[in-house]
Order: sequence, then structure tokens, then C-alpha cells
Amino acid sequence: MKNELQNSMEYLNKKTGRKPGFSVPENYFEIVEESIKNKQKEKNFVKTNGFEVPDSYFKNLEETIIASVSPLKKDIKVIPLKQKVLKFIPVIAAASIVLFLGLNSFFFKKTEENPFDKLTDIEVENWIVNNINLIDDNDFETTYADIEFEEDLAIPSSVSNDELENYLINREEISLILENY
Amino acid sequence: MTDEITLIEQLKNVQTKEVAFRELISQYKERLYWHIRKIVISHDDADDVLQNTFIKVFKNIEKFKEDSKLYSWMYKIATNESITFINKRAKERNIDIANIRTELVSNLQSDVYFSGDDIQLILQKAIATLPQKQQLVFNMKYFDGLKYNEISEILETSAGALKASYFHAVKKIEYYIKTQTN
Repeated sequence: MKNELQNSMEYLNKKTGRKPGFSVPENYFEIVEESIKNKQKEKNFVKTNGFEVPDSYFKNLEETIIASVSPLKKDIKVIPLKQKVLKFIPVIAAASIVLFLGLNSFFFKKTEENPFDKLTDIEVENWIVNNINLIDDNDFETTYADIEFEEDLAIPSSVSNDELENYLINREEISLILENY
Repeated sequence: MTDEITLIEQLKNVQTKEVAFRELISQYKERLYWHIRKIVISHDDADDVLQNTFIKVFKNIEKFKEDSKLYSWMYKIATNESITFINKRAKERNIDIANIRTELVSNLQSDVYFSGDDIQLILQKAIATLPQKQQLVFNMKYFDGLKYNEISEILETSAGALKASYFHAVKKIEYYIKTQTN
């Protein structure tokens, strides 16, 4: 066995020169000493930050959190999503119709209408009767510039109901309107 | 150069530990490096393992019982660190531990820090085919020139078992080289 081993060793030595073939970077062994020293210093750095917690803090933490969320859990009603969605369908449908009609009236009407044109004479007269104190003589003159108002047509500042009634009856067009009212 | 006994005393003394450690690195860095390198193959990995080895020596020097030579004790730490590293690498890559060195050696041809010729590459591939313990024994005996009793201390294996291990390792490598070169 010894001779056999010796022969094999001789063969290997002759073939390989007993060299593994590895090499190192230039100056590696000069540099590695400093690297080791630095690494050793780093290991000596204080690992703790000094903070502490009360005794059994982490042991009790889980229970504390569970206890704090438990009351909230009881008030929560679980409504199936399907039910929630079905509830809103009629509302969504109605809203869609309103939106459609609204859009229709605002964007699709070709002729521009003055909203005041829609007002009926009755609505105008009713407004005048209810807001007589807001109307000034000058308002009539400005609005109906081409009409000559007679003095007795001007609205006096204080008119009795009897006087007003007599006036209305004596004006044919107003009488006709009042008959139909 | 400080003798080993004095060096150990200085290392175990808080006042002189740092200075003694620097000397320890200076004395043993190359021997330990090459031992590690032959196990882990890559220079970068060897560099990491070497530094970790010295850190471990520094941290555990008080536990050194002085029942073996200081270098044998450090060599043992370096071997264990290298094996742990290799085994970890095998696990990371999902490779059998028996095959990890073969994989590492397969990259040698393109390794910047491998200046061996074809035969040396074949030799490394041959070593990679051996079981892990035979690889260690072969490297320590053939390249590092350690005696069987020194290897016995490091690997905690009897000298007799190591002799048998080395014999088989050499025969296998010879066969491998012959088949690859003929």
C-alpha cells in the first residue's frame, strides 16, 4: 500500500507540480489585516439602543389589543354585499331617469326660450298683488316706457280694499280676468 | 515574532488583546486563507470566511484550553467555518452537499483569480468528485503538508482512518486525471 501510494503521489507531483492553481488580488494580504480589524470593531459596537419596556409588556400586548377591538366587533352588522347592491338599484334607476330628462331639457332643446315667457298673466298678476309694496312707480314707467300711465293708474302708497275693489271692477280687462280666476 | 505561549497570554489579557490580535492575523492570515480557499474555491467567499474565522478566534480565545497548538485550534475553526459556508451555499442553491463543490469548480475556468493551467483545473475537478472528508484530508495532506496527527486534531478523526482516507483520495484523483488526459 505504501509503495502504491508513493507511486501515485509521484505521478500527481509530476503532472500538477503540487500547485492548486489559485491566485489572489494584488496586495490582498496587506489589506486583509485592516479588514479583519474593522470587522472585529464593528462586532464590538453596542447592539442595544437602551430602550426598555415594562415587565410582561409583550406577553400582555395581544390580550390588550383584542380587548380594545372587541366592543367594536359587536356593533358591526354584517350585511351581505348582494343585498346592499340590490337596495340601490331602484335609486340608481330613478337617478338615471332624472339625469336623462334633465340633460334632455338643457342640452337637446334647439330653441332658446326665455323662461319668463312661460309665465302666465295670472302668475304675473298674483306676484304683483303679493309684492305690491316692492313695486315703485318708476318700475312701471321703466318697464312700460311706451305706455302713458294715467295718474289714477299709479299705485298709491295707501289704498283701501274698497277702493281697490272698485277699481278692479271698473277695469273691463281685469274684470274678465278676475271672472276666470 | 512572539512565541505561541506569550501570544496566547497576550490574547487572553484585555490590556494586550488588541495588539496581540493584530500580530495573530499577521502571522496566520496566509496559511488560513489558502486552507479556506481550497475548500470554498472562490476568492470572495474565502475572504469572507477568513475574516469570520479571525473574528471567532478573537471572541473565543478565552475558551482556548491550550491542549493543542494555537494554529491547530484556529485551523479547526477555519475548517468548520468553511464547511458551514459550503453547506449553506448548497442549501441556498438547492444542491446536494456532495455536489456543491463540483458546481463551484465548474466556474473556475472563467474565474479571474484562478491562474492554473488545464491540468490544475482537472485536478480541482478531480478533488471535487471526492466525498467531503476525503477532500479535506487530501487538501491538508497534499497541499498544506500537515501531519496525520495534526489533521486528526482538526478533523477529530483517528490518524488510521485519515491514512486510509488519503490513500483512497489519491487513487481516485490519479484515475480521474489519467482518464481526462489520455
